[in-house]
Amino acid sequence: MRAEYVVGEAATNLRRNVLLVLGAILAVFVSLFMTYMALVVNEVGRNSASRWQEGITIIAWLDDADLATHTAITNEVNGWSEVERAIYVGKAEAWEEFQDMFADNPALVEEVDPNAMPASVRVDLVDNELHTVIVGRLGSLGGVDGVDEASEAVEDTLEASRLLNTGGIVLGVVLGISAVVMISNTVRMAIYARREEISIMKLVGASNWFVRTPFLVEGLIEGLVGGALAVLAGWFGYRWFISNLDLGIIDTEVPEAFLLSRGLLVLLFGALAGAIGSLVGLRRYLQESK
Amino acid sequence: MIRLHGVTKVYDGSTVAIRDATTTIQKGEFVFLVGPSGSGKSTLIRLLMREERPTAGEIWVAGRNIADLPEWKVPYLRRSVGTVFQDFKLLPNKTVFQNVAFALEVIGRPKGIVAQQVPKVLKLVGLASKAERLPRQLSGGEQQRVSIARAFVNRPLILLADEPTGNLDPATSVGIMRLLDRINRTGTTVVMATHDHAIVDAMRRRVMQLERGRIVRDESRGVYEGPVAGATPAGAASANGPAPNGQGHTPETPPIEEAAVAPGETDEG
Repeated sequence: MRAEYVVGEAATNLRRNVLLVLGAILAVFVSLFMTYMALVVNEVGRNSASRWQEGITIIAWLDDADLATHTAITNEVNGWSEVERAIYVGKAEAWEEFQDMFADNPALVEEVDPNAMPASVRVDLVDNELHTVIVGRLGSLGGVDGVDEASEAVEDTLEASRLLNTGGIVLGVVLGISAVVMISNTVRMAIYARREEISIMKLVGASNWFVRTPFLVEGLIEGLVGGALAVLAGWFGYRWFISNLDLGIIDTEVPEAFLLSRGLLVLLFGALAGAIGSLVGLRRYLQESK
Repeated sequence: MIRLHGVTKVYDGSTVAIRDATTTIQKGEFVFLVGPSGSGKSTLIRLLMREERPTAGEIWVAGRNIADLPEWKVPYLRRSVGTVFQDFKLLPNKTVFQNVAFALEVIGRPKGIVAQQVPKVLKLVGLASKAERLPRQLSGGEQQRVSIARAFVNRPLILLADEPTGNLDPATSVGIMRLLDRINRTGTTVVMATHDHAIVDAMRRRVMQLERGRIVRDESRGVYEGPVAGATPAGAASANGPAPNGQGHTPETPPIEEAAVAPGETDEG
């Protein structure tokens, strides 16, 4: 069987039912776009969360005492067995950090009084599970204004990204099924449009695969085109998103390699949806002749 | 070439289309299937091309029992069985050449073979000069010639024809019969279901008469209205008299009586 023949026949089928084909491609596109975005959002959430988890778990904000007092507090905290490491960050350091963080926003840096930056002790725990105990103990220390835990934010972010991920995948699956149905419908229509030709093919002894392959290729093309559009839209949409919207503390950067590998996965799903769709569409034809 | 043994076909569990048919058709024979509508002629043709499976019995075609041929092997059976129908079944958007070439292309014959075989068979059916026409630009007889060319281009062992002259006027029909006769002389076994008395009577070939699914008459050089054993009065008995069947019979293929050939139907090949 010549590839030229198969692709030509598939192209003819695609041309014959333009609207239906567009519908099928759109269905694949929407479902795979959702899936792709869910994968990316999940990765963003996971990245941010893990970065925070590796870093400081608890921050104890200190009041405006002198350095000796601050050092004493830091040393005390360092003495606790649950604490792996407590680091003192003075006012000047905090200011530098602030300037670094908002280097792209000079107006804000201008506004803020360097002295308003509080000194703090940043505490890493031996075991993050103990954080409630330590937060309580830090809060009751003299000279501590307040205690923040990153862990809550971490938990929230993880939870949110898990939800988004599950929701996205569930939606992707539902839409994916609709994509398969759409593709099987277009293939069935294409078969119907060519029923005369097919009956003659069978009459003169064309093998079953010879008859089926163009329809299989048609479904595959629909799935791949829809998938490719989803990856392109996802990729550029994501790029646009991170360059135009600043979510502040959330690190939205995802490595290209990740985008690429998940993009290929999405394409594969598109091809799979196309193949399954056309096989479903061909099923009645396959069972024919009794 | 074809052997039926106790073949029965029942539709929907109650309608008996073929009842316990047993017969043998030798290689190179020309057999007419005659009988009224609903007698089972078309069912028999469909069974022979494995469009249908028999409910019971064996159907041997070219050495294989096609009653239990697996579905995926059916295409390979079809390659050795050409088929021609009353309604031609041509593709309207393909030219004569393309319609015939289609039969070779879809079974994967290389381009060279297609380019070589198609003009040859078009010449045989007398349509060499009309290769680039579309079916609707042809007369009914010419369209049927295209369909015969398509059925024969792959040189099948057997040619099955279901009422091939059913849509054609008598003069045109004679031309089609001459063509089928010529194909038969190349050694191809021809089985043709027909209602056409004149053709059967003129050709004087083996005649198998069906009635309500039974083979009620089988004559080696029969006519349409032959004597049926026991039932129909032998009023229109043929010159040869009734012969039991075509066992071991090799047709000598007498030429069609020239008187029966209409002047308009000339052969170009």
